Amino acid sequence: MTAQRLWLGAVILATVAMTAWLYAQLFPPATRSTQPVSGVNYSADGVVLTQMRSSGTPSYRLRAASLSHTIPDDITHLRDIVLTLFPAQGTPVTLITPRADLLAGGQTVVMPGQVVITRPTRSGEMRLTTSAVRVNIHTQTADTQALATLTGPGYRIQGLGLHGNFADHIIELLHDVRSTYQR
Amino acid sequence: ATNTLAASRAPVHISADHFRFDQPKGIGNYSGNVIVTQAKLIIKGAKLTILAPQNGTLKKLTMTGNLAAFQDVTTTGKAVSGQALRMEYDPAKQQIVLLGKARVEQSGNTFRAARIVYDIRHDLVDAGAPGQRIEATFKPASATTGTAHKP
Repeated sequence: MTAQRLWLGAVILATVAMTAWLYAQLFPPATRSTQPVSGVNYSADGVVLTQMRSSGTPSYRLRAASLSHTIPDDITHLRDIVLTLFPAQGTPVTLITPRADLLAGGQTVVMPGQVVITRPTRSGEMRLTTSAVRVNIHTQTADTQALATLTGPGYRIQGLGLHGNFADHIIELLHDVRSTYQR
Repeated sequence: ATNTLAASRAPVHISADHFRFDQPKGIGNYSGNVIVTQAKLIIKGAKLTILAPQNGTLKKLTMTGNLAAFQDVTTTGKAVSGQALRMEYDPAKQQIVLLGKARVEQSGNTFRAARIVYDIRHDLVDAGAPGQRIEATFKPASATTGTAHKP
């Protein structure tokens, strides 16, 4: 009788252990997230990011000395940035600035400080100096309300406010334009 | 302009409300209160179109307005002015072509035609074109010199 009872206990014990093991396999305990709820959740140094078009040609290249991504705002903070936009036609346009934020959605780059925009042209380099620029890297446009100065071989054009459409290579100075052409 | 060679090499200053530069076409458009100055030449109008400069040299400036106007001082120091719907200024040739309701006033004489070419360098007015009439008003010499006219 005792042997029978011992044997029954062992079977019950084994069943309970098996059930517990199966349960643990089927319903693993929730992994405790190690990500911070807010603040920097990743960072990197010496970054070069190239976005390609479906045609296989580059659309833009973002080079930064360092970046840090913060949540929950989903903003990527960049330092010492060289952003090169590759229009479908024509030569690329390069924007250089010390600090920028790539906003959530990955479409808009905000450049609060001074921005130097350059583009090689047949008659020499065209250079635009301005500040507080918002760049849409998909439409390849740039906008600011700040003073913008366009210089090239023999000319200097300054105005308040800029709309640059680098896909179509059209630059507009919006107000109070003054220019000098000098041989 | 007083010394036309120097004037033709003088820097060209342009101010306006708005500027648009179409790089592929090589065309710049100024609009809104456009003022062009070079040495003593002043051209004013509503819209100005320029061809992209090659090393600072502007080849042709086209000003339109209702009406566009220019003023300058001739090589002999006299005032000259003009108006038209459209003006084409060639800095190298030192020449202004006035088109549409064109009028030039030079030393008191007035010329009106559909087309007038004013040669800044030589202070010459060439008014009219085949099949077009011109109207010229000359101020009597005495009126200009102020001396009594003896019959």
